[in-house]
Amino acid sequence: MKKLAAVLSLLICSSLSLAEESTKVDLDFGDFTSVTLMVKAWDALGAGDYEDAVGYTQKCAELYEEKAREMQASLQAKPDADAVNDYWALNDVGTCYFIRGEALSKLNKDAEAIAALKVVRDDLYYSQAWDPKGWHWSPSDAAYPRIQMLEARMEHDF
Amino acid sequence: MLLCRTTVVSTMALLISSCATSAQPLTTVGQASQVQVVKQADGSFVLLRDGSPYQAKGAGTGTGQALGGGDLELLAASGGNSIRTWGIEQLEERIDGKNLLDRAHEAGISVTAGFWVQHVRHGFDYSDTASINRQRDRLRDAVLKYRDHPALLAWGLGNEMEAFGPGEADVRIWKELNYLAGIIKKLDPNHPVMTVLAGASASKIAAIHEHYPALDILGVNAYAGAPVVGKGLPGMGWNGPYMLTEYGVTGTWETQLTEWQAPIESDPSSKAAETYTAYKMDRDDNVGRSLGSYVFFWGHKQEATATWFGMFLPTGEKLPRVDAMAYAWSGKWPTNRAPKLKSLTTPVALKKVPLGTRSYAEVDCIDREGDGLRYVWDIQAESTDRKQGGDPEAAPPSFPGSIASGQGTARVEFNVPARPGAYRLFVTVYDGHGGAAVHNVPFYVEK
Repeated sequence: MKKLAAVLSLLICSSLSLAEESTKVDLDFGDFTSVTLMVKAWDALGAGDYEDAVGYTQKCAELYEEKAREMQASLQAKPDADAVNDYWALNDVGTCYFIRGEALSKLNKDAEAIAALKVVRDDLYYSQAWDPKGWHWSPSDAAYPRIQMLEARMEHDF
Repeated sequence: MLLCRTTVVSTMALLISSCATSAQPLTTVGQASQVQVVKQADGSFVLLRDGSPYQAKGAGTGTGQALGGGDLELLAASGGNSIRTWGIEQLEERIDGKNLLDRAHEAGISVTAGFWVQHVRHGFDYSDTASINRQRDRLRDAVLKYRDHPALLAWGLGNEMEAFGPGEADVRIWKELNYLAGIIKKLDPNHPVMTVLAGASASKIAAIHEHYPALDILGVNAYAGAPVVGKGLPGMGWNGPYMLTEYGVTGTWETQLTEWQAPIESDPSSKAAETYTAYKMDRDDNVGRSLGSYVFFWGHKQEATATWFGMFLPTGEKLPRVDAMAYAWSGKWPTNRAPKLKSLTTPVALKKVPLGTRSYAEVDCIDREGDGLRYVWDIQAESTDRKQGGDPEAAPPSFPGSIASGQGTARVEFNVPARPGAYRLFVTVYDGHGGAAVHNVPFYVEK
């Protein structure tokens, strides 16, 4: 009985915190496309608005993660430059998980940051992000050392 | 996002380096070292120094006035055993009358002696026979002069000479490197030749296989991608021995930018963790192929900011990355740690603010040994003297008068500078015992 009460209380707490999170900031999701959400998340990260960045990535995942996972499952290798944009959901959601990890780490929520980065490293590993300097990069490849760094930061007193 | 940083070092100093060396052998105590790269029966590689396995636990350093590095005693006390230089003239930099090689030897530290192979982007013409011959002559002089020094570990023949400009597609550079390596091997069969690339790629490695077979050790400079660069080399066609020759923190060109394109510098603890992780992953994931690594930069250096890559302040205090490397190399934290900066908070951080804004900033910093902390705040203009390849950059102007109250304490009030533009707020925290922590946040003043 005690155990059930504890579980219920946890569920209530977590739903409360989610509700709080969704009402805490009134974010403008624009046209709700994955690319808009991803760009807004990057911009929020660059502006130091880390909670907002998390919010945009959350919305992107809510709306497009299923499609992203479908695209990932259809692939045997990273798409080449000609085909990369066909996998828009995979790219945007994967990038959003990377941004989410970065934002959470800035908020000193290292365990949550690691969890976000592991989604892109382990599940959405064929996603690619566009660098305005003119090339695509792999959020999955970038996530791998970030996870190691955050784990080290949790384990050792730097 | 990933990969290659670019270079270091004062180009002008290197261009005139021919004057610094002569072919007179250096007189030192001790015997010349014998260093070889050996391929073992299982296909793995080992560096043997005077017959014993040797893994470089190193740092890139420069003792010139502008670079301020060279605390070799601290390097040794931290568990480091090697340094890397970029230009041969660095070996002649003297402290207390002793040159770098002698000081390193006294501290029990080996030296990968860099010889600066000229870059096309600095105006060198690889079709100009006279220039090529002068470079070859300088190398001969350097090898004859330093080959018998007991601190010498390897020759660092060139650094990122393939990057920028015509770059890796210019086969003349690879062929010339092969020729230069031949000069070294003929004059000094006792020390291997390493050439350092600005990041690795399949095309660079293919060019090396085709045009530069004399290479003994591949050196790779990498920053955000440093932890994984070694693991990726076999996939690019390199199964030989290598060293991670520059690594540390994510580069200014790889990091998140503000809206006005200013790179955002990580906090000192994250930089320490990133440096530690890069070292550890490279070492642990590449046993038998990695012969060691050199962290960047055991000194201080203006590159985008005064604090991005340097592990020391210009006044000599160590920053937390030094402690992180001590822990990585030796498994022990030093007795006196640099302060731990937990947060730097200001409403202007990463924001555009109007002219005339008055704001505040506060820092949460602790000292593990309980040392009293001294706080110095400063506002500096964003650097506009940005260069490629680590070429020297001028420090931007500072506006200490902007700090209105609280200087010396953990909380200040400040007025943003009176001219619109990009700035950074810096705080440096000193423990009074040779340790410090420094952090900054960019902001932008609008009309």
